[in-house]
Amino acid sequence: MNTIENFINLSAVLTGYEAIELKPKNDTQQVAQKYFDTLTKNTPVDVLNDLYNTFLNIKGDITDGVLKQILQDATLGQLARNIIQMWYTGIWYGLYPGQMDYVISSTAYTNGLVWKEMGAHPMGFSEGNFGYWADAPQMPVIK
Amino acid sequence: MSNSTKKYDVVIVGAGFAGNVMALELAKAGKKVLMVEGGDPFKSDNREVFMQNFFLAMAKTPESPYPQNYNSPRPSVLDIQNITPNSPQGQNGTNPVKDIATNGYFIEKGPMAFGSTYERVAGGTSWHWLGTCLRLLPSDFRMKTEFGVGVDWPISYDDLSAYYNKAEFEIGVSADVEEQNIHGVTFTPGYKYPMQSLPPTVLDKKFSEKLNGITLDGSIVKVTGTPAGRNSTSNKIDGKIYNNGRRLCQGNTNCTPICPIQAKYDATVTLAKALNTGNVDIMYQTVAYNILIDETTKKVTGIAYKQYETKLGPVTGEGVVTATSYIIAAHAVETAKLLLMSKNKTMPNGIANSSGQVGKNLMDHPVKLSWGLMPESTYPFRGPLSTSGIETTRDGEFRKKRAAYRIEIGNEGWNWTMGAPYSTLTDLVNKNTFGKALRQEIASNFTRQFRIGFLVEQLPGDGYIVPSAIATDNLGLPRPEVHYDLSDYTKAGFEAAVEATNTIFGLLGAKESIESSNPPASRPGSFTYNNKTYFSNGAGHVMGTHRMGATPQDSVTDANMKTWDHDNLYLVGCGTFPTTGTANPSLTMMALAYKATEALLKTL
Ligand SMILES: Cc1cc2nc3c(=O)[nH]c(=O)nc-3n(C[C@H](O)[C@H](O)[C@H](O)COP(=O)(O)OP(=O)(O)OC[C@H]3O[C@@H](n4cnc5c(N)ncnc54)[C@H](O)[C@@H]3O)c2cc1C
Ligand code: SF4
Repeated sequence: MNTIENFINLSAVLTGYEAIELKPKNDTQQVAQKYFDTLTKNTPVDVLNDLYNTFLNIKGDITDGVLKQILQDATLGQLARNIIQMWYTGIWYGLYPGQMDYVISSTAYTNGLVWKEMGAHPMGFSEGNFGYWADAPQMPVIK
Repeated sequence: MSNSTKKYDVVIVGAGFAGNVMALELAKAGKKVLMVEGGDPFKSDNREVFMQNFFLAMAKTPESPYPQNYNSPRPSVLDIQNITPNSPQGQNGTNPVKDIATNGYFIEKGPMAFGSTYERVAGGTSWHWLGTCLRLLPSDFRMKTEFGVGVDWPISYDDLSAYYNKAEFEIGVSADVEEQNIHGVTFTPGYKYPMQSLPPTVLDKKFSEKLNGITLDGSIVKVTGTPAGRNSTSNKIDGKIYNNGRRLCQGNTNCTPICPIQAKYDATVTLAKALNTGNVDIMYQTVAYNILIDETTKKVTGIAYKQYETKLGPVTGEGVVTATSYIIAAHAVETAKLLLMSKNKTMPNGIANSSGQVGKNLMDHPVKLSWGLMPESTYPFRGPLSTSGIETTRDGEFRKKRAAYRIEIGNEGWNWTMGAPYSTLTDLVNKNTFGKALRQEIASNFTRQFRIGFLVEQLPGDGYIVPSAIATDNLGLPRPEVHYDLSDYTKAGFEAAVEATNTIFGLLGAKESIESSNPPASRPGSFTYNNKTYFSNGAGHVMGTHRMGATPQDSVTDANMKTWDHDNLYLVGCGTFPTTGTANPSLTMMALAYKATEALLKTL
């Protein structure tokens, strides 16, 4: 149930990215694994099982199902929103008693999807050349 | 480390922005210098470690890369609180020192919260400065004469011009002379900045297109490239291509809190050169706490220090350093605090304080931020944090009645103002926006975020600092007690900034954010003026606390930054500024440090 495949497939719907983009075949950065571990470590088993069960049993339109059965659910919604934010910023927001908000790792920070989505780069981690900012960026294509 | 046997010409307290320049210049002239630096040592892997701290910090504040050091503590923007008669700051002093991190280093007494911070590590606050290197305007030196407010400086723009050239060369400033000669700023004939102006961003170009040529605050607006202490395309100077050996700016959009590749100048550049001369020794983790005086000659005879080995550890050494002359360059707040702490029988009010002006005239450039959405994408979070601004508003007859400001154009969206993109992402996700719709929202909306900042001038007399009588740091030394306020002169500048915001946003076709136009009254930094609530941010430009002047009666130092009271004691840093003008202060501070060095060298 709690497998990385299920995690990636759910994450694909939540983030709007293809599974293969979230976990490339040759994933040198290992962020998918790191997020999977973070989620597993920080979430009670029964809630996780409920999350994946719900996801795997969605019938019909997957996007609509994820919205109605997961995001709009009192318990699962919070967790799903956390998963989105984890992918987009590399942050785990504390959900359960005793948990703090934290940046998962430097690699998680620099791989945050929100920056690419803006045609930008994580602050403090630019791969551009001098002067690139003078022109509009190549924006990611949303298929 | 014991330096008791070696003879030094000069002791410098503080290896920050100002101190390092003086160390290098004195060393180049063959003088033996001993630096006393309270913070942790400067090491080659500092930047890497600091970058990791930054990546992992939840709140990416200016301080976030640099660990708090309880033996050499610094304020943090996270500690800024509202001040009420019973606010916790007052009780802070009785708490154990470990609480500094949560309750703040400053003991704030108000009435206004003080929003500015500094860093106490080798290299000083330059680690997280933005790098803006504007010159002051000629009229900024003559506020009393020109506008009947504040005081005049004991020097003029022309007196500083050649020193500005030197400072710009050492920092490696990228700018364009043609663009900078506004409001009477002149340059040495044939002068070129070491490097060309940085390319403007997409947003900058939009500003130029929509605003150039309009009249604002009585002047015709011209959006110009902001002189920057970061590497751009080199100019040829005296037949040689300028080369400071550092990398070209890659647009990491992170100049504050830390440039990952040192494309931005910081004072460790100059410190490394100073140490390489062989004429400079430095004692790290050594906090100066008492300036000793010969009661008859009034000369400084030594500076007492305490040492430690770890950030929370005990005192591990004490002693006195001596030299022929002494320079205090410990930052505007700490320098004033040190002078006031060094009381003795003949100087009951503290060292260099016969005028009573030490610690007084605490000033900043309180910032009015205005933010919103552009009608189309202008792509923030790319390039240096700021590349252009509007400087034409910095002077005019209106300065008789209200403060001037410069307008900084930010390239970091709503990052400073709202904590974007994190906050804006959370807002979206909380509305259950997800999947491709989320991606589309980010692409079309986040890319329209922008902000401008009005850096408003202050006049002397608004605030002051004293060493706290009750609160101490881990070494047992008093923490700064800060009394800060804005006068109506400055508040009227905020009022004008709101009008200017309306004009600018109107011409850009931009929509101002609700939080920008209606700041909540309850936030630290908020104030009410003519029935309207304003919010002011700190700029980190702390000035005025040991001002220079024409007479010993109303100033702490002369025009060479030598204290009137002690023949061999100099004070350098932004604390020397009699008034603030609207230029970010460090370039002027560095020019003044060259001036002070020249004067000091004549006496050695
Ligand atoms: C966020 C931010 C952005 C800024 N951006 C700009 C900008 O764009 N342009 C600009 O012009 N200015 C800018 N500034 C202001 C600039 O950083 C300061 O003006 C400048 O660093 C002050 O230099 P200084 O040498 O006086 O003090 P510092 O650079 O703070 O150095 C003081 C040194 O003294 C040491 N010290 C302190 N107390 C003791 C003691 N008791 N004993 C021994 N050593 C001691 C400290 O550890 C430190 O190394 C910015 C400031 C901030 C906070
Ligand atoms: S934009 Fe980036 S590379 Fe350029 S100075 Fe700022 S932090 Fe350094």
